[in-house]
Amino acid sequence: MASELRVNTLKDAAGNNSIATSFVAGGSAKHFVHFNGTGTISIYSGALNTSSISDTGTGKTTVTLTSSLSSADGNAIVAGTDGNQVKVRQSINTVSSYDIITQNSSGTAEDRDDNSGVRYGDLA
Amino acid sequence: MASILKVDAMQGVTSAGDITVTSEGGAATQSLQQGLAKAWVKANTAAVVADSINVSTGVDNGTGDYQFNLSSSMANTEYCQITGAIAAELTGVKNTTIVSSNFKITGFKRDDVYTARDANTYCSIHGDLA
Repeated sequence: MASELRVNTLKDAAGNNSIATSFVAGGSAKHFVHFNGTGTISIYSGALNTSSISDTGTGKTTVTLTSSLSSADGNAIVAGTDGNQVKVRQSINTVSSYDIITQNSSGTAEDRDDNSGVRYGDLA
Repeated sequence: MASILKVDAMQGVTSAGDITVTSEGGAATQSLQQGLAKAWVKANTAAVVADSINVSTGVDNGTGDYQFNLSSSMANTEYCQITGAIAAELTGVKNTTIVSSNFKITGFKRDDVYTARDANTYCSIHGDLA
């Protein structure tokens, strides 16, 4: 049977390790994605709150969320796995999408095959 | 009314691995388990772990070459890994050789070539635990 529990604080059974549920909710990632940005771009297995990824240019991928954040200030943290990849950055942050930009060692936009993004903040 | 729940383990009713939480704004719901980082670590230039969760050991494999072994493995090798580093002259950091039981971080600087460089590193892992 489905049930709903409303509680302000969680503790272990001994009464230790107290944490407010606001920290559980606020500290949880609201989105993550790991994708291949080369060729026909694709999401590797496992993603959270990710509606789609779109190839919007060389070295540029637009990630769209299923459920929007409450503000565009929800930070996007991005990283790459690829060898010789020296620049991965996030740009154009909105409540429902953000861009990931990848460049090669010369600073030229280039598609890369291992890119990750995580967003924190409040869901709408 | 304020309330405190004392419990050692939490499971979903319909599915043990899925507890739904309501969004802060009330417009959406999300899996509690999916949003939790499954591992994170902060380590020094010798891979000595300063603080972490789900990281059993850090291994210094050489200059700028670090491996962190997971206490509980991930379900696959396609998890999301966010990595950073702190070091003067460091120009890059990358994740390398992803397997389900550990993750690796390489720090480097770039002169005319990429040169391995020691760094204080940090990383978080998102995805499914095994």
